[in-house]
Amino acid sequence: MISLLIVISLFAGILGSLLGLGGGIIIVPTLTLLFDVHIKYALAASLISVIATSSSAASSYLDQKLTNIRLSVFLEIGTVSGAIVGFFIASYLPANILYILFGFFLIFSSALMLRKREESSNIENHSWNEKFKLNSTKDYPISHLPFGLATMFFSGILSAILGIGSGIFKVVAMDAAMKLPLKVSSATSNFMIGVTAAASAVAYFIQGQVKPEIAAPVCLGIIIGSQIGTMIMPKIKTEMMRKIFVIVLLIVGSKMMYQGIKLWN
Amino acid sequence: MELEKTISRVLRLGVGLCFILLGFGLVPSILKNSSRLDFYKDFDPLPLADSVQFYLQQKNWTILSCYIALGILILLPFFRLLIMGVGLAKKKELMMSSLSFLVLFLLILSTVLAL
Repeated sequence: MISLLIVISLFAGILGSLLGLGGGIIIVPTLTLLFDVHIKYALAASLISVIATSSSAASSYLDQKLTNIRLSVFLEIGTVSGAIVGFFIASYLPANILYILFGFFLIFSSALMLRKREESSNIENHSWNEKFKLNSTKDYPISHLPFGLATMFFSGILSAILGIGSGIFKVVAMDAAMKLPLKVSSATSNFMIGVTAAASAVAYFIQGQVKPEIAAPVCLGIIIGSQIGTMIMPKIKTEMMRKIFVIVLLIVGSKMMYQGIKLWN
Repeated sequence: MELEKTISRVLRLGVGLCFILLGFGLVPSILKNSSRLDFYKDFDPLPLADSVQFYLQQKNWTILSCYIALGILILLPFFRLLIMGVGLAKKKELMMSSLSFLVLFLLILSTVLAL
Protein backbone atom coordinates (compact mmCIF):
# COMPACT_ATOMS: atom_id res chain seq x y z
CA MET A 1 0.00 0.00 0.00
CA ILE A 2 2.75 2.44 1.01
CA SER A 3 4.89 1.40 -1.98
CA LEU A 4 1.95 2.13 -4.29
CA LEU A 5 1.48 5.57 -2.71
CA ILE A 6 5.20 6.33 -3.21
CA VAL A 7 4.95 5.33 -6.90
CA ILE A 8 1.83 7.48 -7.51
CA SER A 9 3.45 10.42 -5.69
CA LEU A 10 6.55 9.95 -7.83
CA PHE A 11 4.41 10.40 -10.96
CA ALA A 12 2.72 13.41 -9.32
CA GLY A 13 6.18 14.88 -8.73
CA ILE A 14 7.21 14.31 -12.36
CA LEU A 15 3.98 15.83 -13.71
CA GLY A 16 4.10 18.69 -11.20
CA SER A 17 7.63 19.71 -12.13
CA LEU A 18 6.97 19.31 -15.88
CA LEU A 19 3.77 21.37 -15.82
CA GLY A 20 4.84 23.92 -13.20
CA LEU A 21 2.32 22.78 -10.56
CA GLY A 22 2.66 21.68 -6.94
CA GLY A 23 1.22 18.21 -7.38
CA GLY A 24 -1.59 18.71 -4.85
CA ILE A 25 -4.25 18.31 -7.53
CA ILE A 26 -3.03 14.71 -8.01
CA ILE A 27 -2.29 13.82 -4.38
CA VAL A 28 -5.68 14.78 -2.86
CA PRO A 29 -7.84 12.72 -5.29
CA THR A 30 -5.41 9.79 -5.02
CA LEU A 31 -5.56 9.70 -1.22
CA THR A 32 -9.33 10.20 -0.97
CA LEU A 33 -10.64 8.18 -3.90
CA LEU A 34 -8.01 5.42 -4.10
CA PHE A 35 -6.79 5.04 -0.51
CA ASP A 36 -10.04 6.06 1.22
CA VAL A 37 -8.27 8.56 3.47
CA HIS A 38 -10.41 11.32 5.05
CA ILE A 39 -10.21 14.47 2.91
CA LYS A 40 -8.85 16.62 5.78
CA TYR A 41 -5.82 14.31 6.26
CA ALA A 42 -5.38 14.26 2.47
CA LEU A 43 -5.38 18.08 2.28
CA ALA A 44 -2.77 18.34 5.05
CA ALA A 45 -0.49 15.75 3.37
CA SER A 46 -0.94 17.54 0.07
CA LEU A 47 0.20 20.87 1.56
CA ILE A 48 3.44 19.26 2.77
CA SER A 49 3.94 17.70 -0.66
CA VAL A 50 3.60 21.18 -2.21
CA ILE A 51 6.44 22.43 0.03
CA ALA A 52 8.49 19.39 -1.04
CA THR A 53 7.91 20.09 -4.75
CA SER A 54 8.63 23.80 -4.34
CA SER A 55 11.83 23.37 -2.31
CA SER A 56 13.09 20.55 -4.51
CA ALA A 57 12.53 22.28 -7.87
CA ALA A 58 13.27 25.86 -6.70
CA SER A 59 16.96 25.12 -6.19
CA SER A 60 17.32 24.18 -9.88
CA TYR A 61 15.35 27.23 -11.07
CA LEU A 62 17.44 29.52 -8.84
CA ASP A 63 20.64 28.08 -10.33
CA GLN A 64 19.22 28.78 -13.81
CA LYS A 65 18.42 32.37 -12.67
CA LEU A 66 14.79 32.04 -13.78
CA THR A 67 13.21 32.93 -10.43
CA ASN A 68 12.56 36.59 -9.61
CA ILE A 69 13.05 36.43 -5.84
CA ARG A 70 12.26 40.12 -5.30
CA LEU A 71 8.89 39.84 -7.03
CA SER A 72 8.18 36.62 -5.15
CA VAL A 73 8.65 38.37 -1.78
CA PHE A 74 6.34 41.20 -2.85
CA LEU A 75 3.58 38.84 -3.98
CA GLU A 76 4.01 36.52 -0.98
CA ILE A 77 2.53 39.27 1.23
CA GLY A 78 -0.78 38.68 -0.58
CA THR A 79 -0.56 34.92 -0.74
CA VAL A 80 0.41 34.37 2.94
CA SER A 81 -2.32 36.76 4.18
CA GLY A 82 -4.82 34.84 2.06
CA ALA A 83 -3.60 31.50 3.42
CA ILE A 84 -4.18 32.66 7.03
CA VAL A 85 -7.75 33.68 6.16
CA GLY A 86 -8.23 30.40 4.26
CA PHE A 87 -7.06 28.29 7.21
CA PHE A 88 -9.87 29.66 9.39
CA ILE A 89 -12.45 29.21 6.63
CA ALA A 90 -11.28 25.60 6.13
CA SER A 91 -11.76 24.81 9.84
CA TYR A 92 -15.51 25.41 9.45
CA LEU A 93 -16.06 23.64 6.12
CA PRO A 94 -17.50 20.11 6.22
CA ALA A 95 -16.00 17.29 4.11
CA ASN A 96 -18.79 17.27 1.47
CA ILE A 97 -18.25 20.96 0.68
CA LEU A 98 -14.48 20.36 0.43
CA TYR A 99 -15.07 17.53 -2.07
CA ILE A 100 -17.34 19.69 -4.22
CA LEU A 101 -14.99 22.71 -4.05
CA PHE A 102 -12.00 20.56 -4.97
CA GLY A 103 -13.88 18.95 -7.85
CA PHE A 104 -14.89 22.38 -9.14
CA PHE A 105 -11.29 23.60 -8.78
CA LEU A 106 -9.98 20.64 -10.82
CA ILE A 107 -12.46 21.24 -13.64
CA PHE A 108 -11.72 25.00 -13.60
CA SER A 109 -7.96 24.28 -13.61
CA SER A 110 -8.34 22.05 -16.66
CA ALA A 111 -9.97 24.98 -18.49
CA LEU A 112 -7.08 27.26 -17.43
CA MET A 113 -4.55 24.71 -18.67
CA LEU A 114 -6.13 24.69 -22.11
CA ARG A 115 -5.71 28.42 -22.66
CA LYS A 116 -3.03 29.55 -25.08
CA ARG A 117 -0.01 31.22 -23.51
CA GLU A 118 1.47 34.01 -25.58
CA GLU A 119 4.39 36.35 -25.16
CA SER A 120 3.48 40.04 -25.49
CA SER A 121 5.85 42.73 -26.70
CA ASN A 122 3.92 45.92 -25.81
CA ILE A 123 3.83 45.92 -21.99
CA GLU A 124 3.31 48.88 -19.69
CA ASN A 125 5.63 48.87 -16.67
CA HIS A 126 3.80 49.49 -13.36
CA SER A 127 5.11 52.31 -11.14
CA TRP A 128 5.48 49.97 -8.13
CA ASN A 129 8.06 48.06 -10.14
CA GLU A 130 10.43 51.04 -10.02
CA LYS A 131 9.51 51.90 -6.43
CA PHE A 132 10.28 48.44 -5.05
CA LYS A 133 12.99 47.66 -7.67
CA LEU A 134 11.26 44.33 -8.35
CA ASN A 135 13.38 43.47 -11.37
CA SER A 136 16.56 45.43 -10.76
CA THR A 137 18.69 42.64 -12.21
CA LYS A 138 16.22 41.47 -14.90
CA ASP A 139 15.38 43.03 -18.24
CA TYR A 140 11.60 42.68 -18.53
CA PRO A 141 8.74 44.99 -17.42
CA ILE A 142 6.10 43.99 -14.87
CA SER A 143 2.51 45.10 -15.42
CA HIS A 144 -0.68 45.28 -13.24
CA LEU A 145 1.04 44.69 -9.88
CA PRO A 146 -2.00 45.57 -7.65
CA PHE A 147 -4.14 43.07 -9.60
CA GLY A 148 -1.37 40.48 -9.21
CA LEU A 149 -1.24 41.07 -5.46
CA ALA A 150 -5.03 40.71 -5.15
CA THR A 151 -4.96 37.47 -7.16
CA MET A 152 -2.25 36.13 -4.84
CA PHE A 153 -4.49 36.85 -1.82
CA PHE A 154 -7.31 34.73 -3.28
CA SER A 155 -4.91 31.99 -4.37
CA GLY A 156 -3.63 31.93 -0.76
CA ILE A 157 -7.21 31.39 0.51
CA LEU A 158 -7.70 28.54 -1.98
CA SER A 159 -4.38 27.02 -1.01
CA ALA A 160 -5.35 26.68 2.64
CA ILE A 161 -8.88 25.46 1.91
CA LEU A 162 -7.98 22.93 -0.77
CA GLY A 163 -4.51 21.82 0.36
CA ILE A 164 -2.84 22.93 -2.83
CA GLY A 165 -0.11 25.41 -3.78
CA SER A 166 -2.57 27.06 -6.21
CA GLY A 167 0.37 27.41 -8.60
CA ILE A 168 -1.98 27.30 -11.56
CA PHE A 169 -3.59 30.63 -10.51
CA LYS A 170 -0.23 32.19 -9.72
CA VAL A 171 1.17 31.24 -13.13
CA VAL A 172 -1.92 32.56 -14.92
CA ALA A 173 -1.84 35.86 -12.96
CA MET A 174 1.86 36.42 -13.63
CA ASP A 175 1.64 35.25 -17.20
CA ALA A 176 -1.61 36.85 -18.42
CA ALA A 177 -2.01 39.91 -16.16
CA MET A 178 1.50 40.88 -15.10
CA LYS A 179 2.92 39.91 -18.50
CA LEU A 180 6.03 38.18 -17.20
CA PRO A 181 8.00 35.86 -19.50
CA LEU A 182 6.56 32.32 -19.43
CA LYS A 183 9.54 30.60 -17.83
CA VAL A 184 9.88 33.33 -15.20
CA SER A 185 6.16 32.96 -14.30
CA SER A 186 6.50 29.21 -13.78
CA ALA A 187 9.78 29.42 -11.85
CA THR A 188 8.60 32.30 -9.61
CA SER A 189 5.26 30.57 -8.97
CA ASN A 190 7.12 27.38 -8.05
CA PHE A 191 9.27 29.38 -5.62
CA MET A 192 6.19 30.96 -4.01
CA ILE A 193 3.95 27.91 -3.59
CA GLY A 194 6.19 26.58 -0.80
CA VAL A 195 5.66 29.70 1.31
CA THR A 196 1.91 29.74 0.54
CA ALA A 197 1.59 26.13 1.66
CA ALA A 198 3.78 26.66 4.74
CA ALA A 199 1.41 29.36 6.02
CA SER A 200 -1.30 26.81 6.71
CA ALA A 201 0.86 23.64 6.86
CA VAL A 202 2.33 24.68 10.23
CA ALA A 203 -1.17 24.98 11.67
CA TYR A 204 -2.22 21.58 10.28
CA PHE A 205 1.03 20.03 11.57
CA ILE A 206 0.54 21.34 15.12
CA GLN A 207 -3.12 20.30 15.16
CA GLY A 208 -2.10 16.75 14.25
CA GLN A 209 -3.70 16.63 10.79
CA VAL A 210 -0.36 15.80 9.14
CA LYS A 211 0.03 12.05 9.62
CA PRO A 212 3.52 10.72 8.83
CA GLU A 213 2.06 7.42 7.60
CA ILE A 214 0.34 9.43 4.82
CA ALA A 215 2.60 12.47 4.32
CA ALA A 216 5.97 10.69 4.45
CA PRO A 217 5.48 8.32 1.47
CA VAL A 218 3.86 11.17 -0.47
CA CYS A 219 6.83 13.50 0.15
CA LEU A 220 9.39 10.80 -0.59
CA GLY A 221 7.75 10.07 -3.95
CA ILE A 222 7.31 13.76 -4.75
CA ILE A 223 10.98 14.57 -4.03
CA ILE A 224 12.21 11.76 -6.31
CA GLY A 225 9.59 12.59 -8.96
CA SER A 226 10.33 16.31 -9.12
CA GLN A 227 14.04 15.57 -9.57
CA ILE A 228 13.26 13.12 -12.40
CA GLY A 229 10.92 15.71 -13.92
CA THR A 230 13.66 18.35 -13.94
CA MET A 231 16.00 15.88 -15.69
CA ILE A 232 13.57 14.73 -18.40
CA MET A 233 12.12 18.23 -19.00
CA PRO A 234 14.32 19.01 -22.05
CA LYS A 235 13.52 15.66 -23.72
CA ILE A 236 9.74 15.60 -23.43
CA LYS A 237 6.88 17.33 -25.26
CA THR A 238 5.00 19.03 -22.43
CA GLU A 239 2.10 20.08 -24.71
CA MET A 240 0.97 16.49 -25.20
CA MET A 241 1.31 15.81 -21.46
CA ARG A 242 -0.74 18.92 -20.75
CA LYS A 243 -3.61 17.62 -22.93
CA ILE A 244 -3.57 14.19 -21.27
CA PHE A 245 -3.48 15.89 -17.88
CA VAL A 246 -6.53 18.03 -18.73
CA ILE A 247 -8.57 14.88 -19.48
CA VAL A 248 -7.43 13.29 -16.20
CA LEU A 249 -8.36 16.47 -14.30
CA LEU A 250 -11.85 16.52 -15.84
CA ILE A 251 -12.52 12.87 -14.92
CA VAL A 252 -11.13 13.15 -11.37
CA GLY A 253 -12.83 16.52 -10.81
CA SER A 254 -16.21 15.12 -11.78
CA LYS A 255 -15.66 12.09 -9.55
CA MET A 256 -14.79 14.30 -6.55
CA MET A 257 -17.88 16.46 -7.09
CA TYR A 258 -19.99 13.30 -7.29
CA GLN A 259 -18.41 12.05 -4.04
CA GLY A 260 -19.28 15.38 -2.35
CA ILE A 261 -22.89 15.24 -3.54
CA LYS A 262 -23.13 11.61 -2.38
CA LEU A 263 -21.87 12.60 1.10
CA TRP A 264 -24.39 15.44 1.15
CA ASN A 265 -27.24 13.02 0.62
CA MET B 1 28.14 34.45 -2.50
CA GLU B 2 25.10 35.48 -4.54
CA LEU B 3 21.81 35.43 -2.61
CA GLU B 4 20.14 33.09 -5.13
CA LYS B 5 22.97 30.58 -4.76
CA THR B 6 22.80 30.69 -0.96
CA ILE B 7 19.04 30.03 -0.99
CA SER B 8 19.50 27.25 -3.56
CA ARG B 9 22.14 25.54 -1.39
CA VAL B 10 20.01 25.74 1.76
CA LEU B 11 16.96 24.30 -0.05
CA ARG B 12 19.03 21.50 -1.59
CA LEU B 13 20.56 20.64 1.78
CA GLY B 14 17.18 20.69 3.53
CA VAL B 15 15.45 18.52 0.92
CA GLY B 16 18.40 16.08 0.94
CA LEU B 17 18.24 15.74 4.72
CA CYS B 18 14.47 15.19 4.61
CA PHE B 19 14.89 12.56 1.91
CA ILE B 20 17.34 10.57 4.09
CA LEU B 21 15.14 10.83 7.20
CA LEU B 22 11.98 9.88 5.28
CA GLY B 23 13.79 6.93 3.68
CA PHE B 24 14.95 5.72 7.11
CA GLY B 25 11.43 6.11 8.47
CA LEU B 26 9.67 4.34 5.64
CA VAL B 27 11.95 1.34 5.00
CA PRO B 28 10.34 -0.85 7.74
CA SER B 29 6.81 -0.04 6.49
CA ILE B 30 7.77 -0.84 2.90
CA LEU B 31 9.42 -4.13 3.90
CA LYS B 32 6.42 -5.16 6.02
CA ASN B 33 4.08 -3.96 3.25
CA SER B 34 1.84 -2.54 5.99
CA SER B 35 -1.39 -0.73 5.11
CA ARG B 36 -1.72 1.77 7.91
CA LEU B 37 -3.71 4.20 5.76
CA ASP B 38 -6.91 2.30 6.65
CA PHE B 39 -6.78 3.98 10.08
CA TYR B 40 -7.36 7.40 8.56
CA LYS B 41 -10.78 6.91 7.04
CA ASP B 42 -12.33 8.82 9.93
CA PHE B 43 -11.14 12.25 10.99
CA ASP B 44 -9.93 12.26 14.60
CA PRO B 45 -6.63 14.15 14.77
CA LEU B 46 -4.36 13.81 17.80
CA PRO B 47 -2.35 17.02 18.42
CA LEU B 48 1.30 16.90 17.38
CA ALA B 49 2.65 17.12 20.95
CA ASP B 50 0.54 14.14 22.08
CA SER B 51 1.48 12.06 19.02
CA VAL B 52 5.20 12.72 19.50
CA GLN B 53 4.95 11.89 23.21
CA PHE B 54 3.16 8.63 22.37
CA TYR B 55 5.79 7.56 19.82
CA LEU B 56 8.61 8.57 22.21
CA GLN B 57 7.14 6.27 24.87
CA GLN B 58 6.83 3.52 22.25
CA LYS B 59 10.44 4.24 21.12
CA ASN B 60 9.17 4.21 17.54
CA TRP B 61 12.21 5.92 15.99
CA THR B 62 11.10 5.37 12.39
CA ILE B 63 7.87 7.37 12.80
CA LEU B 64 9.74 9.97 14.85
CA SER B 65 12.30 10.40 12.06
CA CYS B 66 9.40 10.98 9.65
CA TYR B 67 8.04 13.64 12.01
CA ILE B 68 11.47 15.33 12.09
CA ALA B 69 11.72 15.20 8.28
CA LEU B 70 8.26 16.71 7.83
CA GLY B 71 9.07 19.38 10.42
CA ILE B 72 12.28 20.32 8.55
CA LEU B 73 10.37 20.40 5.27
CA ILE B 74 7.73 22.75 6.72
CA LEU B 75 10.44 25.00 8.19
CA LEU B 76 12.37 25.34 4.90
CA PRO B 77 10.24 28.28 3.60
CA PHE B 78 10.79 30.04 6.97
CA PHE B 79 14.58 29.61 6.66
CA ARG B 80 14.42 30.78 3.06
CA LEU B 81 12.67 34.02 4.07
CA LEU B 82 15.10 34.58 6.94
CA ILE B 83 18.09 34.16 4.62
CA MET B 84 16.49 36.53 2.10
CA GLY B 85 15.76 39.16 4.74
CA VAL B 86 19.30 39.05 6.13
CA GLY B 87 20.92 38.82 2.66
CA LEU B 88 18.99 41.80 1.32
CA ALA B 89 19.73 43.84 4.47
CA LYS B 90 23.46 43.13 3.98
CA LYS B 91 23.13 44.50 0.43
CA LYS B 92 21.51 47.62 1.98
CA GLU B 93 18.24 46.87 0.18
CA LEU B 94 16.21 47.78 3.22
CA MET B 95 12.79 47.99 1.53
CA MET B 96 12.98 44.44 0.13
CA SER B 97 14.56 43.16 3.33
CA SER B 98 11.63 44.61 5.31
CA LEU B 99 9.17 42.92 2.96
CA SER B 100 10.93 39.57 3.51
CA PHE B 101 10.69 39.99 7.27
CA LEU B 102 7.03 41.05 6.92
CA VAL B 103 6.22 37.80 5.08
CA LEU B 104 8.18 35.86 7.72
CA PHE B 105 6.20 37.67 10.43
CA LEU B 106 2.92 36.72 8.70
CA LEU B 107 4.05 33.07 8.56
CA ILE B 108 4.89 33.11 12.28
CA LEU B 109 1.57 34.85 12.97
CA SER B 110 -0.28 32.01 11.22
CA THR B 111 1.49 29.55 13.55
CA VAL B 112 0.63 31.56 16.67
CA LEU B 113 -3.02 31.86 15.59
CA ALA B 114 -3.17 28.10 15.08
CA LEU B 115 -1.86 27.51 18.59
